[in-house]
Amino acid sequence: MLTWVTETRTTTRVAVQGAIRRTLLAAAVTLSALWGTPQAGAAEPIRIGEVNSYSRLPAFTEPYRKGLLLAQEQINANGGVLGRPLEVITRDDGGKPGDAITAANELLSRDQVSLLMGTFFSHVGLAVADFAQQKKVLFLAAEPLTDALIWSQGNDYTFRLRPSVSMQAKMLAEQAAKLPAKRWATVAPNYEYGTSAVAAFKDALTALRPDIEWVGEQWPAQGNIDAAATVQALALVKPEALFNVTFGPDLTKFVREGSVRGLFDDLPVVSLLTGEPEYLDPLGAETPEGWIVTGYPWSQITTPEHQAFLQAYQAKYNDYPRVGSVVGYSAMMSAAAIIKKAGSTDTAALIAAAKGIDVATPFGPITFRAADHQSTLGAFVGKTAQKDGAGVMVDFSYRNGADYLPPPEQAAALRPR
Amino acid sequence: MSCSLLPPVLEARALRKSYGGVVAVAGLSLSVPRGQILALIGPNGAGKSTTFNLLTGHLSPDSGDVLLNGQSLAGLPPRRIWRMGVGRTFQVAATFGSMTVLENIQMGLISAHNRYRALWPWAGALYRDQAMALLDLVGLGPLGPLPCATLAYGDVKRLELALALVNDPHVLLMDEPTAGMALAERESVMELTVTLARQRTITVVFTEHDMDVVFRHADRVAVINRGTLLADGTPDEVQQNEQVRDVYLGRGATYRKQAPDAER
Amino acid sequence: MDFLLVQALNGLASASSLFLVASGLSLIFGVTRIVNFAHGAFYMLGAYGAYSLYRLLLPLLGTGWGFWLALPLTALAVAAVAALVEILILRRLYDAPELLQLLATFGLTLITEDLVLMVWGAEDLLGPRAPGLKGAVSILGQKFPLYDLALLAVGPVVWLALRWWLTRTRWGLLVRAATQDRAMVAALGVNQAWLFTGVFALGVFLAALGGAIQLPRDAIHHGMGLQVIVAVFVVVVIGGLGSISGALLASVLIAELNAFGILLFPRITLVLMFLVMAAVLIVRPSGLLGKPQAPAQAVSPSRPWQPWQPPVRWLLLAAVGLAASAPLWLGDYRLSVASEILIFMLFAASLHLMMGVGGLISFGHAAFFGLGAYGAALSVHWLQAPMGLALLNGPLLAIAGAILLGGFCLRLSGVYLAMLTLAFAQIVWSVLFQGGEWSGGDNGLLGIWPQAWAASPAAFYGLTLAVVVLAILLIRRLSLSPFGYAVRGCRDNPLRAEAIGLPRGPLHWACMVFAGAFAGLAGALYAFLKGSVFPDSVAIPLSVDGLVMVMLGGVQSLTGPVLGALVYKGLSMSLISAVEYWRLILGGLIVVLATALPQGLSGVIDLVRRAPPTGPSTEEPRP
Repeated sequence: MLTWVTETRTTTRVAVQGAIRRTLLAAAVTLSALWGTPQAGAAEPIRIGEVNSYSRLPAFTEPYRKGLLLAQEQINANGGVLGRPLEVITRDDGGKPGDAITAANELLSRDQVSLLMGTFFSHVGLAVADFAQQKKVLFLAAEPLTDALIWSQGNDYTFRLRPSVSMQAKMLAEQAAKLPAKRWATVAPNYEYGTSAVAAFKDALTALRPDIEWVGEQWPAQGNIDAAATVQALALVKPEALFNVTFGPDLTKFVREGSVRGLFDDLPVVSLLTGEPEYLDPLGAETPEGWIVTGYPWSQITTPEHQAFLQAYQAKYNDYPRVGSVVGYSAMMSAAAIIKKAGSTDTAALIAAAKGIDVATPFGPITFRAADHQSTLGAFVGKTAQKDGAGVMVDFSYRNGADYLPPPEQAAALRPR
Repeated sequence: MSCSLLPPVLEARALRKSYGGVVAVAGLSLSVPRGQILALIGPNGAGKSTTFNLLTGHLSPDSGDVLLNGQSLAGLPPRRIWRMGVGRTFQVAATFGSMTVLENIQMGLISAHNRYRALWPWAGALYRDQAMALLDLVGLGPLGPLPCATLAYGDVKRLELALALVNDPHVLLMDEPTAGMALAERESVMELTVTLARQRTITVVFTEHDMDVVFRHADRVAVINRGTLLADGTPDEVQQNEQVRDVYLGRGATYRKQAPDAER
Repeated sequence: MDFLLVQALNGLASASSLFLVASGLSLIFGVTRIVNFAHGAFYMLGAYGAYSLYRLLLPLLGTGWGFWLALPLTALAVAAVAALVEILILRRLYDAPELLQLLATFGLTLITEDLVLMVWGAEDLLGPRAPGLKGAVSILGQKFPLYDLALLAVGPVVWLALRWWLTRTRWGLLVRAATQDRAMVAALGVNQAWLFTGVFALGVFLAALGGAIQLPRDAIHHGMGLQVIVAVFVVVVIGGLGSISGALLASVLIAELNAFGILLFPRITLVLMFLVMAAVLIVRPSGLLGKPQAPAQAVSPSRPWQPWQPPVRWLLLAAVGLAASAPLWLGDYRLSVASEILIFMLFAASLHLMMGVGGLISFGHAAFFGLGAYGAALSVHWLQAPMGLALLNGPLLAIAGAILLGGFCLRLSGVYLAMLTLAFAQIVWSVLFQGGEWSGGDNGLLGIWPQAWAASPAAFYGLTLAVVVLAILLIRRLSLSPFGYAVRGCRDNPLRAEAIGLPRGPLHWACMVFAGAFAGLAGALYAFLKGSVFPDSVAIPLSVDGLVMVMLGGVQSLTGPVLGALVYKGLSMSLISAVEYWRLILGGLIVVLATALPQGLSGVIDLVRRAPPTGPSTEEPRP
């Protein structure tokens, strides 16, 4: 009974009808088994606890989970780690930091996981990072983008995989500086991610182009943009270029209103994350042409490591990978590499191993820097275009994260003593 | 019996009240001496209810004044007027539905003793004996532990009467005290009210539709029509008054037959 | 100048969509008094349904007909679903405490969210552009989308249609009569049940249509429903509950203020509509065009409250004893879960003090919880206060908030009061959210862990248990004190309370302050349990959780919220960790419980307790 429950936690959803039936069944089973004790299996796998916003952000976290499970399968097919299989146990945090702490706590106390990983939202990531420090357990933050996670609020126990807001903003600023535009406006969701992205972009661009003038900014409420009014307000300040941080449904609305109203005619747009399939695909035939974006042109990356990943992913899921898939896959691979290098699941050994570790990912080899615990995973920078009614990235190139991070000693100084 | 020599306890001076353009009360004056039982009657829309609500402080007059023992009540909220010794009952009996019969009275006593701010004592333990005594007075003694919501309507009216007595009022204002009650009950409740009022020298002003009740129990009857006093005197005088017969009592008989059940 | 005109038109187009959804909600509330939390869910269903129906009709009818037929047909289909929901679920609840419908519709919302995920998948969907209205016209040199121009007309058309329907048809007349006096319509011999079903379906039709017409503008996504529900509630309340014209006026007001507000204060987007609502309610306690309403009855007068009889007292003592021994037989994780449940018991009990005792409904009780959490966290973060002091400072900050809010609430009652508390909570939320360094903004404040002596889960659990049990006993003592009786008296019968010298305003104010203090204490404990605080501890979902706990347990007695918190929190924490579609199951359970036990879980206990007559207070010969 119990093993069956564990299995439903880790397998992915295949068919809708099956899932409904299974959920109801699982509820009945778990309700009776809820307060049972976890038992040690015969093989004694190494357990990894994973917390993410599955119910809140399914569009991102479902591909992420698929990547995660693909990596788990591959690792275990190759004999696991330290002679033991890896088992990842995922938990939903509903997008709430309080629930994320509960979930992390459960993973740690009941499931006795060796390390924690995951999270999407910055504030949830920070909460779990703080929890990890309190409980002295390693936390591999996969998605959260805030700089605070590794710098101002950084701690010994927390490592982060994805390139941060400021790294991605720098990659874009590098391209933006080549534009002739001098009058820039910004539009970003009204929360920390938006604010810090705009601040980082401004800093980076101003450093490269001191002649630039910032003429306007809009801060629509996240998930609730009043697109028409926002587009009009931006048009009012007559910018020569625009930096966009909105994403998801907000972006779709913004693009639709902006295109019809001609805001983007002759207006170069630099846009964070828009090239990621999660956000690009919904735009479909309305994908704007020529925006400079960070993203993931999955169908056009020809490196052997990505080819291998792509084939394995498509074979297993009959679907193409999103950025989340790469992040989930790489996070799992990183965790495995860290445990392997540490030679044990002892936290101190894990931390020592994680510092400076090299990991192979679909984007190529990365390193978790010892100085600030940030990985050097990069992103693709390119332009948006339309092809057969779908959005694609063109003229792209991979930017190594290492090139957009401050030197180690400088980064270390940003962390609390 | 005439009590007109005693000084007035309650006095209305040139009360005036209009809603929008409609004048409901047009310069009405009235003085009620100590211990008198006064009935306010009048056809629907005559300004009776408005007058009554002006007396209780639920409405404030456009001009004119209400005096209690010579002291103006202008601008005072009903709860202040109550603290000056004016109890009241409502047309639809107003009691506390989530409390027991006994607790209703205890609530009143707690307020009368100004202890409603107390945070620590058990309210249910306060003033039990006093409350029981009041319930006995209105004949509800055995029903004390029952939830108020389960009482028959006649008993609710009795409860309300007891509740109106918690602060030993010297004036009692009653809005349609027998409305909604069965005929037999009306008589006994009114009887009880009058007895208590006489015992305690309480001045009573009540409005009423049932003319039997009015003429049997009131010392004095004031007839209001179009916002002014049409007649004012003993029941006999008023009954003889031609004008009153014309505008009101002529129809009173039919009224009486219809009223009791139509209202409930 | 030309810019201002176009921006004004933008505002009107937004107002039009907003009005469509809001008018439905207002209509439903006006007639049936249902606080339809699921209105947003139906809006979302409208959008998803229209997307699918369009794709279904496309091969048969082509783009034009396919699109324009899909919108109304979907709305009709969703309205049919709504009628079914009304008949099967809501109809059973009209005699129950009013807010129970909120509970049931909340359950429906949870169910819908997961169903949508199952049927339509996780990714955002992009609907087609409106055929024939894809381009833009030039207005004074500014491009303005044709579709927005069409939307602009929808609002007034719907308004006129509703006006016509309400004033010129028999049904409309009945609906208006019902809005003013439900009992009268029943007396007129009208089949009230079908009238309600019809109105509910019509209201949902408007919501679904509102969702469907977003197809060419918005991405269709899972957040749509929740995102719109708060906004339309605000619109309906600003306009005046039940007033269609008021809803129109309020939609225009909100949309225009937003359109121009973002020019001057781009950062105001989060809080603008709540500021407007607060301002309107303070000046006009019944909204712009609303009429004062009979205060919403949170509670039906019920069994009187009694001090615990000996068997109950022993039972409770045993329960507390059992809870106290938990560290001996529960692991660390379950102790933390138990601590969290205890904290929410206190939170629910504090809400009960307001709702059950005071009759003051709150949609923003999380404000006090969050202020408590932040009071504690700020003391630790900035003053390095020890835990004991921080646990005191939390409630103090909450008390300050309650004093402020209570002062503005004096003239309000019912849903209006509830919505002012919501506005207050949202304003507090946005202050904390955009607070910058002092509040940590949306990244919160970290490192709020208990001191060493209370750091182990068992020690913290012990502390929590002691504090919570003590606080709940205090709440009970308060409810049964003269003060509690006076507050309850004002709730039971404001007229009588006033007529026996009880000052309703100050009593309610004090009640809110006490409730705030206890909620703040819960919040302070929560901060230490989680080790961090975030603005989401002030946010709407937490306020809704509180309401759900109270309603689920039963608002009749203090046992209710405590039981409700245990069941709801226990269930949701277990489900979220165990199954994927936890919202579906939780929502289903809520709906079942709401319909099966309208008096809440504690109603069952009452029934059991009433069965064997133990004293004079329990056996009652009904006259």
